[in-house]
Amino acid sequence: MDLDQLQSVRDRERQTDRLQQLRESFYEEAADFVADLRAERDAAAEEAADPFDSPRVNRLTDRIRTAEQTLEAIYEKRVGKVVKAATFAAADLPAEADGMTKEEADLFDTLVDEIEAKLDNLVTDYRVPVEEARRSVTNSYLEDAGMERDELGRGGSESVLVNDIDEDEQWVDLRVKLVDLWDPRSDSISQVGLLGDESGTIKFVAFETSDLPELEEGACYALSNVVTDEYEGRYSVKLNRTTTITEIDEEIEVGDDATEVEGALVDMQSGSGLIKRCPEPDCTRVLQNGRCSEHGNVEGEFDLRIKGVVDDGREVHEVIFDRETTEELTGISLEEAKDMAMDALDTEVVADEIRADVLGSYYRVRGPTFGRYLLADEFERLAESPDPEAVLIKARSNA
Amino acid sequence: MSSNSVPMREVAQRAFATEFNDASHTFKESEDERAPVYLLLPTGERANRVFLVGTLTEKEDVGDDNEYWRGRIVDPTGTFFVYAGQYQPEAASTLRDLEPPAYVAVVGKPRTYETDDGSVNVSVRPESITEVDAATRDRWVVETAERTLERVEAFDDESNEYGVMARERYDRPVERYTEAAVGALESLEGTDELAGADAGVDGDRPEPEPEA
Repeated sequence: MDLDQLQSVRDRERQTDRLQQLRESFYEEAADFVADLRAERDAAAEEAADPFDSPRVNRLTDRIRTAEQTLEAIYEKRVGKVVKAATFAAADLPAEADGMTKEEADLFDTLVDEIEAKLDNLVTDYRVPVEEARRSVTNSYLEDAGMERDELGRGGSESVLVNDIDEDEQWVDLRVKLVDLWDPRSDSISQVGLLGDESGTIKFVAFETSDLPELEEGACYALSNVVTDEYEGRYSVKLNRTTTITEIDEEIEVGDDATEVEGALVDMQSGSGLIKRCPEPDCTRVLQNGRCSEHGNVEGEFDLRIKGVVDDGREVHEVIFDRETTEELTGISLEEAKDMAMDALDTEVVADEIRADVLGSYYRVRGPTFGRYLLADEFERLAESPDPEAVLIKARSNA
Repeated sequence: MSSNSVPMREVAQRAFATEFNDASHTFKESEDERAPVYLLLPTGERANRVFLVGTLTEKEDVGDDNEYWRGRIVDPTGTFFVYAGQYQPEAASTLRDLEPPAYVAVVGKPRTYETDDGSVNVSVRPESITEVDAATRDRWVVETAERTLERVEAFDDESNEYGVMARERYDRPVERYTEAAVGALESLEGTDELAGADAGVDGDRPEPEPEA
């Protein structure tokens, strides 16, 4: 070990919010290093005629001071992180306990036990709400560790939109709809799936040990005290024992970042072509035989749309083209479509015409997804012959 | 990936005619009478729906009392047979109106029937037939080659239940489908400008006209 090494450990420790991996014996080795320096200085002092004016002794004194200060900085920074990890572990969140030195690992274990006991005491005996209990216990430990709460991230109750989450290990509140539940791959996970709000969707995980009520697909919730997580640039949130879950009686519309799909348009579903919509303000439901499912018989307003199926032989995507993109795709304007229907005394002719025009061709479609549909904001017909070269090379190498 | 309550539509599989016509085994995955029937592709995939693009070279009304149209659709490896009758009115009327040769795209369900000599023939019952251009046909050939290669690559995977099933049912090396894909892709090479000059192996069909 030398001074450069110590300083670069300190710099790395400052650069990230995570504990850097250190050998178990790191502090022991550091202590030995400082002891060696002291011994060297003692020896030098003995040799020197005037130890208080010896350049060598002075240089060694400086190095000892620097080494000690650097070590203190490393220790302070790391203890804060150990405390933070312990508060996570006490909330039954996966905490990163790797890369701790022996002393830190002991501290971590002690802290987890203590924090759990204090939390339990506050919650069970004093009936303090979990959320509040967690805050106060965490705060007291952070004060002891000389850290400000802010160093732990935000205050713990910041309401955010899922798409705004861009930092690891933040405590946040969300108002979301449960879009999708997936099958957990591990026994320790009770629920995993997709939460969404107007800004988009985010993966969530709930752990068995947290003992939380089950969330239901399609329901909307206010989630308080969830923790953000990052993996390869993608963010997710973890529910934990301190998370409060309140079902809310409002419909949250889920937006999504634009996705792009490519493939053949293999089908056009019913409700495509020239359609009529309910004219009631804010309704816009598509009429079935002149009836709106909400407002009954109404004088509908004509609109154009395509509910299509894009299929690349691997996956199927349901895509909706609105009036604008349908006009662009087919070259048929709403007025022309109305004329066609008027001439034939049948609105279906429009869908038939569109079907003959677009089915079987390849498209690239881009837009946000709502539920099972991708809304086509932009599209491109793949009208060029593709270059077979790349596939041919692969095919020949397999043949 | 999801446990959506709405059943997802089945993917339309891409297979060249030579592989499609080699298939003969069909099966269901549940006892339910309305459960989908799958055709087992020799490269180890189940097909409840197919998408194909080729050259309609002949069409004929083979029905007795009612119209029953048969179309021969040629890809670089062989011929698909497509049958459309009164229960496929749109596809039937498209076949009636089309003048071969023409590039067509077909979405449909595989159907099998046993011939008098006990062999199994495979055809397509179309959901839709549309006329398309040469570029679309070329794109389908490249895409179908890709999907075929992917299936051959996954054929021996232990977790590939349809690969296992295909090994049990069909006594053919899957390498022939890789070779078919190579041949199909080669038929596109150098013909980009004259798209339509097919280098197919199907002998008895007229050459399609190049697209104007």
